[in-house]
Amino acid sequence: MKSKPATTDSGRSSNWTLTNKRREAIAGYLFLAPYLVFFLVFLAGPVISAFVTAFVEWELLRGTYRFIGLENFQLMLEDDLFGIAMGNSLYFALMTTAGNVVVALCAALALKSIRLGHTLFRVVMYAPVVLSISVIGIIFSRLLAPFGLLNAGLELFGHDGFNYLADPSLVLPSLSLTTIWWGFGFPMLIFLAALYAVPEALYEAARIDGAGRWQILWQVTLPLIRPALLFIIVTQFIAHIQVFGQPYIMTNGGGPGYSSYTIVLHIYRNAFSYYHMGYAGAMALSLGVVMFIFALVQFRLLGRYTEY
Amino acid sequence: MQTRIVSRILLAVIILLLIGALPLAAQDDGEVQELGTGEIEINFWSGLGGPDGQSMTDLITRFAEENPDVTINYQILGWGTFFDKLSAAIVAGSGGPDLMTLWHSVVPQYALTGHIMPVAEQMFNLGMLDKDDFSTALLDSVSFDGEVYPVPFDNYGSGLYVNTRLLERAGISFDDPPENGEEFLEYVRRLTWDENGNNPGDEGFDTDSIAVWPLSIGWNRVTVTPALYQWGTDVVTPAPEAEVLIDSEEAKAAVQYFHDLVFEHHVLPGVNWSGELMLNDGLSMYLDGAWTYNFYNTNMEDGQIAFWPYPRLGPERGSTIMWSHTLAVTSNIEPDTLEATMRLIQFLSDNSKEHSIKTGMPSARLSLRTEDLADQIWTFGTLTTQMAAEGVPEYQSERFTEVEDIMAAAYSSIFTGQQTVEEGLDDAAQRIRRALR
Repeated sequence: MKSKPATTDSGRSSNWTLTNKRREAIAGYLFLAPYLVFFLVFLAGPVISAFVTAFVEWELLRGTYRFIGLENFQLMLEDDLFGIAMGNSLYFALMTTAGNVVVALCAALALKSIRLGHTLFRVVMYAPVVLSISVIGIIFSRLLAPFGLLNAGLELFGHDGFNYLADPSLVLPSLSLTTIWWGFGFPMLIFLAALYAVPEALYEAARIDGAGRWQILWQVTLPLIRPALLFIIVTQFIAHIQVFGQPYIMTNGGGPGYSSYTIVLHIYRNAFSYYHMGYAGAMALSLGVVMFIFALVQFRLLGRYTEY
Repeated sequence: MQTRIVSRILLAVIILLLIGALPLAAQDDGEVQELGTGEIEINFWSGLGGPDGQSMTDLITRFAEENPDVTINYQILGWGTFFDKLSAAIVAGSGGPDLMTLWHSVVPQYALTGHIMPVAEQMFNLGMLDKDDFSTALLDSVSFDGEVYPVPFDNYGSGLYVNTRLLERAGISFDDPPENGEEFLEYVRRLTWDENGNNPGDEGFDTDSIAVWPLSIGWNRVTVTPALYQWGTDVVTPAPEAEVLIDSEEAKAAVQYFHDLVFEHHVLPGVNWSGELMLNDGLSMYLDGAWTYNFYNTNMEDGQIAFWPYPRLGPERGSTIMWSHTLAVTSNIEPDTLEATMRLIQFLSDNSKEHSIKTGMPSARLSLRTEDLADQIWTFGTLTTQMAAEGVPEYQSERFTEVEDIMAAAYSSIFTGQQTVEEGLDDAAQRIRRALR
């Protein structure tokens, strides 16, 4: 159908017409606009701004703003807390990503194998994801306190318990376990979808060939859900290396000492507590580079696709 | 079919829970209370919460009623949010407060960078407040280039809360507080019991089953810093010189005393809040700030908790730390708003005795620390007497927040055994010097 030329009140023919294609394009852009605006203002804008900020001395309270080249990066090398915080973040991210993958995969396999109560378990296991970190932080701070519920439980078995959040060697594993409990529901759903996509015929063929449960898991299931695995590992690692709320709420901002002090806490404090915006920008940029490198490595290691 | 019904019920429950949580979310801090209906608007941000916040709200409400030309947009914010919002407002150049509460320790950050004005000096010059009615040490701590910046509202310190029932059990009279570091260690020993009722040093004392802890050192900033003064030192010298002292031999000796309390004398390190433990007779003494008065006053049985001065532990002098919540005014305030804001500050200062009665925090106005308050507030007499004789304002720095974070981590490392006193304080000094560069 051809569109009719628009006319004005005086009957003059308009010099522009809207074809269906153009209308569709405009509608498409209009639908896209809200996210595009959001993306530009809240994602792309800050990324570009952080990139620029990394090369300036911007002291918020003093109002100084001047280009200083690579000086912020040089400062980073002299700052022992940058190394401590980055090390803690990497340790936490690796531990939590691994834990999340294992727990989520086990939960997904278990869910796939049961018939009764499938939806109930899925909802229950996903439920913690909808809670905010403030809620999780407060609940687990009490649970893991020296006189908390967990130690009370251990006392029933004659054990004195642990000082989970005040013992330097236990604090990051404790925060990691908290995070796994909080967040494994999301990767579980992705794994579940991936597991349902594996053709049942392949399992039957494997069983006919005499494969056991472990063999089926290692030789059939895991290779076929590799894209989901890659997606989960990359996104979980990127999310967990940016851990902030857990130490902020549960360990008074990174204690004891600097045992749970993470890189995003260090960036946050430098930007919004100490007002060293330039230095914070340089650290944010460095964190971006670290995440990019780790993502590349993960793609290299897990990026192969398997088909049968 | 059954599964579907179950999932629908669950979904309904989750939605109901989320809806139920909405009013809680709405009560989050930061809500603006519009007090009054006048044309002149004062934006007031306050970090005072709990009983302090309630008392401040009562005073402001009364001011708004008595001053119909003024509207106060009053926001109570948690201190973390307060400083985050303040920095955002400074960057934006607008949307910030006209009047704000600031700890006196952070005043240099804002005074030396020109973000707050010397409103106290103006009010003294206009005769709205009497300069002689404030402690000189306190005014000095908020003065720069000879001008007093914010107006001190209250003035408080730390001391030693004691459980009188446990003092009695140990045969220690409340009228006989410890006089030196050695005697304090002896009190610590006598106020520690294991489950069999033995004290440390007794035959059969079991360190693994302590039933009554002798002391909790609470918040290190409040409890360890005063001891530095007693060894003749501090964290840093006053701004703007800010010489780092925390790695001096004197500072190490002071922190070593606390380290030994934790590792040799069964004292709880300054990590967790121990107020309930004391009420349950599981703790004999608690070093803490004046603000804890309200908690005990509300929850204790008659006379269970009493208050001693901050003990003399070091060789040089007795001391307690002094803080103040000050009332600071932004530099870019409009003239009309400034006049009304100064009226509000004068009203709050004039009525700060009321605040003292409700909160236990002494007024910064010396004339309002009247003797009758000692009968109403059981911490008051001891606190004000010691502050007048031995009070030292907390160190200040243009980088106070950064320095304080470094010190908090250093104390935490030392008292959890991650670092020795020497290592912890040397590292802290190095970081502070870098921060102050």
